[in-house]
Order: sequence, then structure tokens, then C-alpha cells
Amino acid sequence: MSGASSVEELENIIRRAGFVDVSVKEKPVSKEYEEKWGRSLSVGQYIMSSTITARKPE
Amino acid sequence: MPEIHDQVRKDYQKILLDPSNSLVTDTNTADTMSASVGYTAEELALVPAEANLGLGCGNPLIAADLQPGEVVIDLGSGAGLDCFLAGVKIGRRGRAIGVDMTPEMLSKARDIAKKNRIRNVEFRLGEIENLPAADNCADVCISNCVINLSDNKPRVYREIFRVLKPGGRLSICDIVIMKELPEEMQDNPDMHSC
Repeated sequence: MSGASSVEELENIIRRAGFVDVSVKEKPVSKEYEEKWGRSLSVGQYIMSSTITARKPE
Repeated sequence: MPEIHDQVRKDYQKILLDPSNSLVTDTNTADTMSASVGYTAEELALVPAEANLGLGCGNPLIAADLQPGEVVIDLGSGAGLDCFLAGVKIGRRGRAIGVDMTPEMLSKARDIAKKNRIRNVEFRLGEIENLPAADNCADVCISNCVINLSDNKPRVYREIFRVLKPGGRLSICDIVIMKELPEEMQDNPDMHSC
């Protein structure tokens, strides 16, 4: 997770790749996820889970 | 950077080869983890249980809206959970292609497919920065908590663009940073793999 990007960076990367209708919707990571991957470092205050959709133009 | 790839590959090899070091705790089984990030019990019942290692951070199949006959590529397919679920949705005329750079994950996924006679799903060794797929071959690309591990995300998204057909779509679940990680987390190699 330490290599993750911000929402703005991600949107820029995806648009520059040529995609349209780019959407990044974030939500808090689950408690189970934070417990499993966070290694007791309260990572939930730094990261969120996102669903990213986009379309390649016709 | 090859070092990042090597670190990620080793981390995921450990998950398969040394369960005592696995990040699946006693209280958080793979099913519990998967339910917490958006998979229903009904979905998980449709695919071989051993394909679910509880490693995702979301359910990319929801927004993917897969249709019968579609070709879908999964970047970082692991033991194949999302590919096998995709296979159910796309049916016999469709094709799901999982790409993973960890040989042990690939072997596991292929064994599961063979054992369960799943014929519309295949797994290819490769990196998400250099997808082993032709131009304009896929209707959909999915990925689950993998692209954040790449040190060349622009390249990954250019590759997704390349392999998608015109009009094709991506549906990706991934981790995003909301505020800068403290140095101790940034410098900790254990915090890279997700």
C-alpha cells in the first residue's frame, strides 16, 4: 500500500493513458482489511479503498 | 524497479508456501475478508473455495457488469478468484484471462481450473506493465488491489488501454492514499505489499 497513489494522481494517469468517463469512488477500508494489512499502524487514516471505472473511446 | 517486483513476488510466494507466515489470521478467514470487501456468500459459493485467498480490497466484478461472451483480463489474478467469478458471468462463449507474475500463484490457479474442469478461464505468466495479450483483444480489464504495487502505474494503464477493444472498459479496485504516509511506513518494505 505504500506505493499507492492519490485519487487526483490516479485520475490524471488514467486520462493521460487515453481513457474517458473516468470515475474513482473511494470508501474506507474494512476493519478486517485494516487489521490484516495494517500491521497495527492505523493505516485506515491514510488510505481508502477505491473502485475505478473508465472507458476506451470507440 | 526490479527490486519492487522481487519483493512483491516474494511476499505473495510466502502467502502460498508458508501458511504460518500468512497474513490470514485465525479470526479473519478468507471468506470473512472477502465478505468485508464486497463479495456475497452466494458469489463465493459459485467458485472453488481454494481460489479465495482473501487478498482483495474490493469486488471489481460489481462495476464490471460482465456480459455473456465477453473477454476479460484480470491483472494480478493470484489464485484466480475474480477470474473464476468472471467465468461464471461470461459463460462458455466468453474467455477470462488471468495474468500474474508469481509462478506459484499461477500454478495454483491452473491446478484449480484443471481440477474443476473450468475451460473458459486461462492463466498467463506476465507482468501487468507488459501484458501478455494482443492489442484490442479484451472487452473488460479488471484488477483487485494490485496496481498500487506497481512502480510504473502510467505504463500499467497504457497497457490496459492497448489490450482493450475500442469501447472497452476497466473496473479496478485499488488502494488510494488520502494523506501522506509517515516516513516509517514509506520506508518499510513490509508496507508495500497489499
